[in-house]
Amino acid sequence: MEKDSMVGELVRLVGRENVLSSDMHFKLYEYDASLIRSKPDCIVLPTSTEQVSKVVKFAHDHKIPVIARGAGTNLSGGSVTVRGGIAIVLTKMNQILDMDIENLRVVVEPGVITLDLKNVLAKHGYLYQPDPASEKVTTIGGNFAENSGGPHCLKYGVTSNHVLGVELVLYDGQVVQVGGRALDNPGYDLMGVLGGSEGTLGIVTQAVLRIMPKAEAVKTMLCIYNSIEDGGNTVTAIIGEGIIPATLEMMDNLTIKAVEEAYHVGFPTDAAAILIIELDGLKDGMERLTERILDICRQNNVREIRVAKDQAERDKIWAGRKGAFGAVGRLRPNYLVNDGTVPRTRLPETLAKVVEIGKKYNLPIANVFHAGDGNLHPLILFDERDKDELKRVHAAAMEIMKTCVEMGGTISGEHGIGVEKIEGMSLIFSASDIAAMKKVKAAFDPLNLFNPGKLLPETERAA
Amino acid sequence: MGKQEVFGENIRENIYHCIKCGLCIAHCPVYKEVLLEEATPRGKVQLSRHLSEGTLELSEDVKEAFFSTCLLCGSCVANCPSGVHGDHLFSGVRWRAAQRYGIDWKKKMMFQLLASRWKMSRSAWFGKWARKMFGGPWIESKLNAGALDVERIPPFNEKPFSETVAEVVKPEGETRGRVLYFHGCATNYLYGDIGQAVVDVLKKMGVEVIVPKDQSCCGLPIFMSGDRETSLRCIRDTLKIFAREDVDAVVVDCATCGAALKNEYAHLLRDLSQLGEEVTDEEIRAADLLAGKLKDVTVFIDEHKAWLPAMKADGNMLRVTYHDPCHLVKGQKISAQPRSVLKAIPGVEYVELPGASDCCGGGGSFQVEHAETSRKITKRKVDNIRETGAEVLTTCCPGCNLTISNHLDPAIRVLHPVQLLQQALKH
Amino acid sequence: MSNSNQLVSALNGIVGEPNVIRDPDQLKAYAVDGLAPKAVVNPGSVEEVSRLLAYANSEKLAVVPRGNGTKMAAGGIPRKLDLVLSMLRINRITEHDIPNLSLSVEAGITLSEVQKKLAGTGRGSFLPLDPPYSEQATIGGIIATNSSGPRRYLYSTARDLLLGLKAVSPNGDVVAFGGKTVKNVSGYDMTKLMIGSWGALGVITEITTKLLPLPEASATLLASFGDLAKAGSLTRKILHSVLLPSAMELMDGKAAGQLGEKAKYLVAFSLEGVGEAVDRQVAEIEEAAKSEGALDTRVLKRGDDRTFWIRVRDFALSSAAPIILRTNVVISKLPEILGRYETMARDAGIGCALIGRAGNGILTSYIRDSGAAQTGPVADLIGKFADEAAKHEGNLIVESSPHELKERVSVWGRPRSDYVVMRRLKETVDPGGVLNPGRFVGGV
Repeated sequence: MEKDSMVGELVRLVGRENVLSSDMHFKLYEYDASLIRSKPDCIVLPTSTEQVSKVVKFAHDHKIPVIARGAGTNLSGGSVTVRGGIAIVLTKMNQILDMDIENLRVVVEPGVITLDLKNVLAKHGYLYQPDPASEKVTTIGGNFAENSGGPHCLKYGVTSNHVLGVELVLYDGQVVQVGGRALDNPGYDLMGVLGGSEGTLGIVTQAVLRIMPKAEAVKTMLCIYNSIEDGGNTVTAIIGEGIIPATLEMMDNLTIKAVEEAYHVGFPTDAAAILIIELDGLKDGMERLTERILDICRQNNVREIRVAKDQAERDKIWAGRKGAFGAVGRLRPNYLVNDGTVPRTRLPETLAKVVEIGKKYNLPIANVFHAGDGNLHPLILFDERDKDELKRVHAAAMEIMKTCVEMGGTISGEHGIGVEKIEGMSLIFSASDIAAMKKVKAAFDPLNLFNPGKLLPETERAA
Repeated sequence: MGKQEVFGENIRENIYHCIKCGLCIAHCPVYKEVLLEEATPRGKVQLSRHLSEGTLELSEDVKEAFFSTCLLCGSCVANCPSGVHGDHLFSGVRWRAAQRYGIDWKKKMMFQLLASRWKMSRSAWFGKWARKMFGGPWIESKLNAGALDVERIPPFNEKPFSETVAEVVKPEGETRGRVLYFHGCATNYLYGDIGQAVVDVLKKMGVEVIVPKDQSCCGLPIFMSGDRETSLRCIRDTLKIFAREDVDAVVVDCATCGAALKNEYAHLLRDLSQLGEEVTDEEIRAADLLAGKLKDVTVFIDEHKAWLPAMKADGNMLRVTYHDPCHLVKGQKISAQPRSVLKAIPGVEYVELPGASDCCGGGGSFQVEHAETSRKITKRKVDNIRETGAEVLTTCCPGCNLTISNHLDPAIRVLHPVQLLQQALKH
Repeated sequence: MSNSNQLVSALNGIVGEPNVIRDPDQLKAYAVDGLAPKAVVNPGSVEEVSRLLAYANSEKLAVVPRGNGTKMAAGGIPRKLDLVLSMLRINRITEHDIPNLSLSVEAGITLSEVQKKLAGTGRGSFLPLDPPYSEQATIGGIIATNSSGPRRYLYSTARDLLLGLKAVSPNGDVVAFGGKTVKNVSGYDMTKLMIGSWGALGVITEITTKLLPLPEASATLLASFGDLAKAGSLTRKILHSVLLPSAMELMDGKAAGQLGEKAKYLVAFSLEGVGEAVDRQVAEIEEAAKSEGALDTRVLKRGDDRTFWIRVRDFALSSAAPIILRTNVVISKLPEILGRYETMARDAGIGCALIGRAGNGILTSYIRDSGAAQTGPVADLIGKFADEAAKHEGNLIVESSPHELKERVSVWGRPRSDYVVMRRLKETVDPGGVLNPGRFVGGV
């Protein structure tokens, strides 16, 4: 379809002020937080479910690809229009529609920023548990599409464990309700497959979230180590003891240095690794649990332990952790963040391999990881203007993915497959597995209009 | 427009450190209202990259984006984990845009006034006279200054502040210290009371205050609108007078003037020098010297708290809160000292403002030219202030003062912390 | 359509003659809603399952997967039934990763056997699921039906516990999803899709799940009330507090009586965790109960508490109620709905015991069978129950019933707008209608 007539039609559907089609705008919406860039053919910012439905129906009638987009902080290229088409930006649909505390639910539009929601809930003494590091800028819709995690998912699960219902626009513009405020609705768990579907099955225009009362007590500890192995062994030992903390996060030396330079939160820049451990729940027995944890740390050669005395100290520790990705931008201009996940016990081994891979390809790698659930984020640092370096980066990334799979893990713990990891899908899925997933895609989106080119490889190669 | 670099080399390299993580988006006051990618600092950094690489034309709508969706508040810079200086990039683009498209004649005239002390004081006199003669609530309510309610803009000082104070004000007892006072245009023409309070308080602390008569505008509003050439005049004038070794500090009562003298002069001169403009090493040295001496007046007072005479409470408690001006908290990283000064005043019941460091939405001319966005941002600030139940809002920036008091319940007074200090010292 | 001999010889060829049941008397025991299969097959490996389904797919046979048959009375009347596929021989624990607290286990093993093994290994752990009939129900069946019990209040259900799953698709493809890691967003979350899919999208052969360490201590607090509103007030209070009971049940007098408790309305709390926390919670909830007007409170410990919960979980076994309904509503309306159901059942003269998961909004109704004559009135009552549920964004499922009743009511409740996608899903995944045709939601 002619771009001009497309724009004209979209203006008719959502209003002139909600359609963007200048060269400047194409450049503004061609990227996300990954290395991939590709321009959309048009950008719309709908303000209601009805508008989204109309735009999708229009796209369906003219076989134009569509992508739903929130804040565009996707790390795997999921928000980039690699096949052109219409970018449906949902930032203007940012209302909290219903704070249904009585039923422990909150209903929101997809453009609500996760931290904004949590701040509103906090005023009432309630929590929405998922806490991805990007929560101050990411939207609920984006979190759901990628099935974002965050440090607290060790104990509480990821986004799909907390989104219980959605209003969904299907490939032909039809609007359906999936799940809802009540649990256990009969039928297939479509909510289950929608979470983490990276925008390839439908567009969420409303979400029902599970909330819970704030925990009575929280204890945050910063443990400083002279070796990553000791830190990793501590993690294994804690879980092995039967203690499930709310979070278990680790950062290596390179990251610590970057974070200190950016935020000055007091992390020691000569430590090989730091471990952030947080317990939450009833205050009864928490002291005893804390002592047990500290014992385990000591048994594993911890150098120093700092227990946060108040909320301010706690916030500082977390500010350092949550800003880690961005901070490494000080070291080299670009990074590629891996997202492999391995069984917890194999984490130290995997990390040693990652260090080797860094040496092999002559690339600095900073490491941040959700040690408690074995999700590592090796940040490969480079300058994208150096084409040779870029090649080595991709090769290193592939090798890291392979390593994770060899350790009994998987290639993506929370950032999604997007474009970036499609090649890695054959490492973990057989041709039959991919065929089964394609059937799900076909059931939801027979015309392959929603975010084409993502998540599923085009051709099936056996593992 | 010939083939000229948009940015100097240092700044250009800085662009490539933007990893598009998007964390800046969480702190941009304009984005909160507009929700478009061009309103994000990240978006403008990426546009800057394209402009720098020549893959994007500096078209009208690009120019619009850089002016209408940015307050140059510096929130993004303060929160960018990679150290990208959005403020330098965006003001650089504004400069090239101003060169290409010119500056609105009203603004240009205003800048010429600000840059000339003589012209400025004449205009202020004229403005005061005109308001007396032709002003009045009915007329003013018909006048439009963007988001600003003209009626609630304070009247011009009877006389410019610089004419009401001696060039050198000596303290009463021993002289413990010596400062230069850069009072800036706002205090000079609108907020003479603040100027008086600064001098009074410093005098009582035993500090000799030099108030050069021929000081000019700091140049920052002019520079931020893209008129670097005119602002250079102000910068050079200021450096001549204020870059002195023989004082303990150069104090300011305005966050924007402070940011200009402390951060921007040195940066701008270096940037222009890299772009081939005629800037001498001596000028750059002077800028560095001035940067080293510059202190916000609350910082100076807090550092020399021991010099304050004893203050007695008069029995009444006043509920006071504080708004962090962007150019002070983000630009100069000062937030503790103003609060420390306030808490030292007996009779002050200090209450923290939620979102204290959120932008007030003024942005100098932004509130006039982009009223709708500005109003929305200011409303959030006003709502937060109301929530504290404070009777007085304090802030260290006449710009913020002007904007907030224009929209705030008139029963809540807006003052500079030194004014409260001045009152307390009277007892 | 293959003839009998062809069928039998094909089946013999795949699983071996001893593993094919053809005797008509035996086959009657495997009937579903009165429909007896042509044969029951008992494969001993995933490969055999794969070949069986491939065969069924090519011959257009209808297959019903089965564990120990505890849920066979659920679901719609099958359109067709040719084979019952028993998974009982595929029953090994394939991996117990103790330090990682994960377990991989095949579909045909019973939950109680798994729990015994886990409790006795290392420091002791458990799979935090307590569905009904845990002694007989197989893992495959439990997961396929998303079965859960009282302790879902704290530990949640299968969809929040499983890390991975292996299955055989209706066309015979062997597929594996997820893995051993707690986080996994590679590809679609097919594991969740298979949970609760009632055997209609594939036959589950193996699951990998999270485990939890056995709690240090446990206790149970019972509070009896004369007033439903007061009982509801207590559950509401605890729901919004910082306390963390592992179960919170609200039941009517009939259910309480069945469990040996005298109470018009009984609220039961299970507390598990570190000793200090259990003691504190027992004390605090007891106090709250009294202040909300409880007539009596009782604490159960040291074995009595575990026994109590087994009886709640397996209520259906003791109550001899062949009609079991499950209603889901928004959480805060559970007490109200329980009251409404009580009244409506009483008015209809139908014996009905009610147990509610007060923290989840799930209410189970156990209706005594009063013979074929009651089918009409029971169907009416179910209709009224469903209407009531719909008022609170809920639905009503018939979990178990004689097939005469199934012809009169919609066993899967009211259709919802997303059924259009579910239908397309079934058609795409199982175009031949091999697995459980006609038995699931929307008749697919």
